[in-house]
Amino acid sequence: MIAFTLLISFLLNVVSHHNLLIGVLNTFLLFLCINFYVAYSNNKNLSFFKLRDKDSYFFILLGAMPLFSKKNDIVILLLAIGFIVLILFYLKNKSKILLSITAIYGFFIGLYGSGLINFPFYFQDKLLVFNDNWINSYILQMRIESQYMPSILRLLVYNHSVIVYVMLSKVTGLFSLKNFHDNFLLANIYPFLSGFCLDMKKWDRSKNYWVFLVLTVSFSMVLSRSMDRISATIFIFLSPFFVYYISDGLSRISKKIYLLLFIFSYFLVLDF
Amino acid sequence: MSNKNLLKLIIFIAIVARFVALDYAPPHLSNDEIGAAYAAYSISKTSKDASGEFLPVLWKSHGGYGSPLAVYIPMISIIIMGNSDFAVRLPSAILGSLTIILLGFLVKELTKNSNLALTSSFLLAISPWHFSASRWALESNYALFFVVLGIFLFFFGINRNRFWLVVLSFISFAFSIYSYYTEWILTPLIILALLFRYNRFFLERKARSFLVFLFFLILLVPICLSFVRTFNSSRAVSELITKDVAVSRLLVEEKNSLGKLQVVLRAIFDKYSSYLSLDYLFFYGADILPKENPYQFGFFLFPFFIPFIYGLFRLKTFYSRNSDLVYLLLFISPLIASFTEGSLNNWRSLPELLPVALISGVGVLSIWSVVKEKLFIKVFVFVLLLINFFYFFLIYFRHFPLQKAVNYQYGFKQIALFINGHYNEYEKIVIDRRFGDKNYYYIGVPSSYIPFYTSLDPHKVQNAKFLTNGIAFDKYEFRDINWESEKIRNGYLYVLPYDIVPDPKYGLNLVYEIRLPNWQPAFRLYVKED
Repeated sequence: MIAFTLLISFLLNVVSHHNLLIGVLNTFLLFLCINFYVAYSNNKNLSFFKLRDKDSYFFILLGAMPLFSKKNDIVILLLAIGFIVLILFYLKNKSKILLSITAIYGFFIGLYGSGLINFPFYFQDKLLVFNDNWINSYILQMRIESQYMPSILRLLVYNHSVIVYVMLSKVTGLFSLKNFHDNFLLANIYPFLSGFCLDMKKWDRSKNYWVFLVLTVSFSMVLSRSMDRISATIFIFLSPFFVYYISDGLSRISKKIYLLLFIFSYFLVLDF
Repeated sequence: MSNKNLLKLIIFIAIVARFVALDYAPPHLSNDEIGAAYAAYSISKTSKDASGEFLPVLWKSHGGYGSPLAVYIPMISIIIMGNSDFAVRLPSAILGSLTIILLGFLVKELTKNSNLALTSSFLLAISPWHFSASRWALESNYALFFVVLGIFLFFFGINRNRFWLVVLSFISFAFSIYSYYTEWILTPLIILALLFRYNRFFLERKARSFLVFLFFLILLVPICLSFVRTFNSSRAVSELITKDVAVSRLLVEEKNSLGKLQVVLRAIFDKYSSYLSLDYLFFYGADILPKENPYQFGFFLFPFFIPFIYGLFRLKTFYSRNSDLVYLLLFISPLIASFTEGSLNNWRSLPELLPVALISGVGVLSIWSVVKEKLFIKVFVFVLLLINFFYFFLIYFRHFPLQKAVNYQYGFKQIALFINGHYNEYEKIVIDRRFGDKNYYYIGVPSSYIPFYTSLDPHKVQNAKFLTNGIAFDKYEFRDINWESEKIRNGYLYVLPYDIVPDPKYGLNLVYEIRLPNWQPAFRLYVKED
């Protein structure tokens, strides 16, 4: 069944943008994501070729997720593949050094993904959130408007620490319904929530590493001001986690509702 | 903190803080507030609104037709206290404070958990957006009160088997529909959900239930008739998403009818997604400062976004069967706002406060029980909240009036106050409707501000003459002033944006200047003297 899922993904790549290399890389990325799910969940029902039960047919629909059939940037795809490979290695070895390497790698691919570093090593400091003229001028304005305060207090209350708040706001803004739909389809939010809900109930410490990695990538990306680029690429890097929850929730949901949502999602996506 | 102390704190924040300096922050009555305030004043004096309609249901406002309770609720305080900002905003502050208390009662009714009730109330009390909304004469805030009251009375009645309370709940629901357009769809959806959930209760009382529904529908007849009569210029029609500039352009480009449907659905979905996004709800949705300012606030203080996420998954533990209703509220509360044009509008999405407060309340209690023994985390969270609320107060009462005064057409009230003392000195008063500066002039509504603050006889406004470029009544003319073509006369007072300066050759003298709270000039008043 995994083979069918990958086949659908590849065919959609060919149909939508005709670039075989990107098609292969996208499909490989999906393969690694499914691998991550299999490795972590120990799901014995999944097989590479056989369609074992009704759920299998729905698993195939994962191949239709737009994230894996878009004309993604080749460098970003390669970086994402490297990220998943590192995570898979970590899952096998559980070494703290490997986790640190994965986190550092995650931080750097975040910088690439947000455009702060252009290939190979050109750092675009003008894109840094710290160099946002609006933020700097408003900090100054707030200080001017607070002349009634002692100057030390003014500097303490209105300073560049507000950038952390801005970054947090941007991170939360990334995980919106629209971004989810653009990358994974609206229909998949249903199994995603189901999988996530279940995971919350049986939360174990190992999941804290996931949170750590997700936050590392997210925060390194929002160091950049270029939000459009971030929302387009962050899901490529974080795809294993999303695919994990979607796959995990898929067997627990109402198939009729999922199918209806899937048709509706595709109606929104297709070009008439 | 004991429940008693928490209750005291809620009452303090809810009641005291919402009434302090009502006429200072927001800095000026807004366009919508003055529209409703003037209509209320006019109806209170003559039983007719500015357009001369006798006791209107939907009344003619600046941008279409406004909802009835937007006028009839502040009318009471205007009659009692006179034409002032405080009188206009007082009902909203009262209803906003009551909403906080009612929310606590509602949660208690749904969960029988006093701690959760207090926590949810507390969350709403310190919600930046509910705090702001309660300090505006905001019809969506009245509607929120009636929705919460309606749901509370419904459950109170059902749980105690008192049918008359259910009847009262339907009256409250009808009032919510009379308060704001969002509730025209939202309230019926809530009612349908409640009926579906408690169908047995109503089936066991078929005859009485039928009468209640009939009564509810009869209550809605006046507003429906008024809507049909004013259909073409109604806001419910003019503010549909299909009227949005970007959407309408795409609709024109799209030839295929399926494609058109797709364009509309995509636009609705995009908006819905934005209304439900965490950054809107917890970081910038309150829209207190200019968009680019980093010191923004959401509907709730930002530390609550974690309890909100956690609460989503823990809701069933506290609300058991009623959790479905909370989820449904979360799903439908931004839906109606998503069908409307323009940028994100926090007035239209105000009902989101209700489910988000309920869910975040659950999250807070759940997290609190986990970190109960960990003093460090408790202190950290407490300090974080305190700092956050301190920032909010500072920004709301200090920076918001300084940075947003222009958006409130600041200055027209001050012009009226000047005229009040000099009315007899001028033969005619010509007021330019523009405000702002030469970078961008907006068109304001001084024709509502001036008669409201000068308590001008409303009959004079009702008999206004329409000019080619404005409106005139009494000794006032509200129109653009172009110095080149203006016939400047002695005894005329000219009021203009500060940067439209007359040439000295016209012999006009500056008699008064109005400045914004940040001391930037806003308007200048000139008169020709020999």
